[in-house]
Amino acid sequence: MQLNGGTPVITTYNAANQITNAGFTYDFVGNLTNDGTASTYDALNLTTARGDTTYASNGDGTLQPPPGTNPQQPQHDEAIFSFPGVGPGTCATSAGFDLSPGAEAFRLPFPLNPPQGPVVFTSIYMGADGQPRQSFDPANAVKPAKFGYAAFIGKNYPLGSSYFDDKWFDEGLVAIETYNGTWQDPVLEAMENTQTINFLVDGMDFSNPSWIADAKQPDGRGWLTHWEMDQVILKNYISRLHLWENGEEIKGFARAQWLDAWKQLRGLP
Amino acid sequence: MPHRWEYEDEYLEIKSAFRRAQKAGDHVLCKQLSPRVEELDGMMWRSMTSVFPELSPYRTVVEALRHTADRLNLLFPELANQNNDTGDGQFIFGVSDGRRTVQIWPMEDRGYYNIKIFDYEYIEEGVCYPGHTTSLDEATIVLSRWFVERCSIDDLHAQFSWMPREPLKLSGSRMTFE
Repeated sequence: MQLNGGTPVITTYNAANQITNAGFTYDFVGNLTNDGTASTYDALNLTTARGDTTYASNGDGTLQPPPGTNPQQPQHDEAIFSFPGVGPGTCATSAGFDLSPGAEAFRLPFPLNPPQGPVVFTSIYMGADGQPRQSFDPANAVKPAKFGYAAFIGKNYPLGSSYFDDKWFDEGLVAIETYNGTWQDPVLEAMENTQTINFLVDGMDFSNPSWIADAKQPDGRGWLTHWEMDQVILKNYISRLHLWENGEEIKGFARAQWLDAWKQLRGLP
Repeated sequence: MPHRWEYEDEYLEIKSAFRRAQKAGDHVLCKQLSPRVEELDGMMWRSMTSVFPELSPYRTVVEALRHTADRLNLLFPELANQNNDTGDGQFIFGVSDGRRTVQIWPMEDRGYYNIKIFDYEYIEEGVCYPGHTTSLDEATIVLSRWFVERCSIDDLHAQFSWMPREPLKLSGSRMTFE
């Protein structure tokens, strides 16, 4: 029994030690959602709102102002998203990603293991206004927006003293994650929605048949990004393509020669 | 120099169509396409030889390299060997036996022969050593020494300091979108 303003109130609990009195409600994972003041939580069970006050949280659970409240300092390690079956909320980047401060527009893959279902992966893109978007939108991304992915991601490919994906994040690039078997979709989406497709041709071997054949694996994934270049050509995104080598863009005749050689070697129409 | 050559789309299309016709044995179509293919290729070759006049006696890069090797008394790769994939070698020369590769590409906008050599003998994915020179003779020597003589990268670096001893390592994503 508790005293509340001099009036005795009997507080009752269920087996999960949740208050069962009228006005108290909990969500399916046990978060208190209403005790006279409504509260909401993210997928990590961190508070996102209580009453009229909203919160966001970083990876270690520290509460911070919501994304977008200070456009000069976008919250790169946070994202707003909606998980199927869980509902809207905010979530720290607990997927092992540590986006560098240089990343100003990003797509985050979130592994989530909600109690009622299997692991779900979803993603969002953060715009310049701090708001999430369902597709990459460079025109509204925090500028300069760079967006990339690595063929080696997930393989911990050694690169000097660090790993490829670590280094990659250090460069300020952001991820199209390639696991879960659907990596082609976000790549195609990015191709479709961007004005500039940059492609580094450094270290590409046009003459070794096994190198050229590498991308003919069942999933089309070559370890030197054959599939992606094929798609640029097949989907006629060539006018937006920029080829780079040794830090300089390949232009004019040389560019046509490179593209023709690629088409020849890959047997593209 | 503009991002794209004004005839790029036509060039890529007609070259593919010509190759398809050749493969299919469609001599009529080949004959129809030939004049324009030669015209566009000729435009490109004249532009290339204006920057690399030493190529002007020849019709293709592979022909220039072969004659240069002869002149320098260097061994030249056996291109008839089916294990050595060469492509057409018209503007970009390449030879590979699956263990070593050499690519030589005269890049007129940069005024140098872009050279890449690859080594697959110890690492399955291969390693690439990129370099460049303004000399056709030097490019030919690299080709002969790396591919035919099977010299080491240290030997090549000792002879030409512009050939790096350390392999290329990409510092970021190969593909980015903006």
